[in-house]
Amino acid sequence: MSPEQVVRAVQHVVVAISVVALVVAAGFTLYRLSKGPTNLDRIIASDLMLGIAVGGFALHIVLSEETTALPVVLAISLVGFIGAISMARFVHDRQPSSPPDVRRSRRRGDTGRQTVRGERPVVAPAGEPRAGRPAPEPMAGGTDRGGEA
Amino acid sequence: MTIAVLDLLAAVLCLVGSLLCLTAAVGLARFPDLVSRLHPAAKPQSLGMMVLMAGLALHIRTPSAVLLLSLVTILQMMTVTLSSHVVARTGYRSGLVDPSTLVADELAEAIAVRRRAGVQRGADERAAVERPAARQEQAGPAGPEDHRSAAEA
Repeated sequence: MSPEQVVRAVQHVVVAISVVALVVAAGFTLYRLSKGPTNLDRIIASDLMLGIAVGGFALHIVLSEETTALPVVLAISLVGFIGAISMARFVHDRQPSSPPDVRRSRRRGDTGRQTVRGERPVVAPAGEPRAGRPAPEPMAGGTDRGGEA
Repeated sequence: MTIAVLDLLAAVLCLVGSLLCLTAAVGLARFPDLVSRLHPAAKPQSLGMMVLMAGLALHIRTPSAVLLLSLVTILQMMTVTLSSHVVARTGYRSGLVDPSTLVADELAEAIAVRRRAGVQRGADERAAVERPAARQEQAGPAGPEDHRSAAEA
């Protein structure tokens, strides 16, 4: 075979290994997307999934020797994070949605009771403003003071 | 450098970038906590993207493509930072962060300072409302010290 063919064959093999690596990465991300006990975990996983999609488009450009998908790479990296930010603004996660893991729970437990890792470990203070909403401002102008002398 | 060497280098860089993305995904699947999972979703992910774009730029050797891919790299660095910060802050404010796992908690102090400032501002506004009403009741104008000390009680 000529040197160009050898180089092209090696290039294709290496890029094929990269494609397999990206597919496996997508599998792991899908696992976290389905399992993640809170919605925020799913938001992070979807952001990573978009990054893997960008990588897939880049490998497609290398394999097909055409730069047709190049604006797609730019567009996804431009607007891909907006979904994560806007979803995170409107999430009020107080309880995990899926059953918690019991991994790493044997370190604690002086009483012998296994602390389940998914249960809420901290209680936000009562006056804590919720995510996405500012603390309610006291009403300026008073309430019933219009008629008082 | 000859074209063949550049092509091979581009392929190797694509492989390294994909392996870094795989590292990020494995970390995301295996780390125990929400805040811990933000680390692999941000750092090896963005580095993998940068290396992958570098490999792609070496493969397509036109100046416009190199410019576009460097723009993608810069955008990736900015957006990953933004989204990680917003998600971490939302998780903290939702109570999903175990404070015993934190070494330093600067957000708690900032929230406490802000709440004190908010309480003081609310007290000042209530004092500003009560001051004209009180001035009609009393003989002379009461100084602002009275209202502030009454508000702080």
